Amino acid sequence: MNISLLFDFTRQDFVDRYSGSALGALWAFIHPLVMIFIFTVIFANVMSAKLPGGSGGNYDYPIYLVSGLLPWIAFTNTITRCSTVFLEKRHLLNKIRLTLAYLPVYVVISETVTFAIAFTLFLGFLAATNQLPGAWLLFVPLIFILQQIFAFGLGLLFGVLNVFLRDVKELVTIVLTFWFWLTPLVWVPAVAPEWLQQLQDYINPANWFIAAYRDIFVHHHLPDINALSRLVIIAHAVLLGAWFLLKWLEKDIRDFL
Amino acid sequence: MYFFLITTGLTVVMLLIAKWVLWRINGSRSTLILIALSTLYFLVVLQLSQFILGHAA
Repeated sequence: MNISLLFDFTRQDFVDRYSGSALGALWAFIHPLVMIFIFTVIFANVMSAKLPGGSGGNYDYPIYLVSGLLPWIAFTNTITRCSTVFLEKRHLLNKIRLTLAYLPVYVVISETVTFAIAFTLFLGFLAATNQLPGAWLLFVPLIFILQQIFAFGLGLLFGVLNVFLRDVKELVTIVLTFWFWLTPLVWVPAVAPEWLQQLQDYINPANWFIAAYRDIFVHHHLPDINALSRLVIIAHAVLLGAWFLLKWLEKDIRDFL
Repeated sequence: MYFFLITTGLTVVMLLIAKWVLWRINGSRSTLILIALSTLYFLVVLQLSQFILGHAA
């Protein structure tokens, strides 16, 4: 698939998302800004929430929350939107011969741009509160690319299945809700039972990248490389599996669409 | 400093190889090679970071 076509799809995605609204693309800035503001005001100023194992600062818990939620939102949006991309673009697929496996890439790019905007605002907040993590920041693109490869693989897998069984889209939403609460995004692992903490380390790939962001933004140290290496293997294995499934069912997918 | 120079160099090399794969090899094989290349790249960068930055810390 032509790369310029992917960028055209991405641009169109942003145009479609904000077309008709008075503030237009400004909404992409307003949403994360409001999220950071609310978490800071509620948890730092109203509830004075303290993070177990944190430095004891006022902003520890808001930083803990936002550093986990921003990547999670990009991750889940990528999965849910990729899982419906073939049906949404079927009018195009029926007219032009597009490479199916590369079509959802525009969703990944679009969500990456949205994340980059939100993340820049978050960095502004960290700079204002004197909490910037320093050189470890350079790890963030690496972790983000890995999480998006994983999200792309899962999205592609669900996208293929969704063509044949429309319930998959609803199931994905439910599974992601369970996954949200099973991953330490709003709760702290230290308060969870021992078995749940061990489960996170062994079988929850989302926790591997969320914990890596927390290592950088909350604890200001090198992320767990072994967990990230496991994520590399799982993310690429899922992508490979999804790609094989797509190749195997490609003719049927085009017939169904 | 050395770490970031090495990883930047590795990234450039990987992107050049990826571009060459996309230009030279068509069809299914190019995707398989790109996935394998990406896996190898991330594993190497992560192990390098543990080796260099872990020791430096």
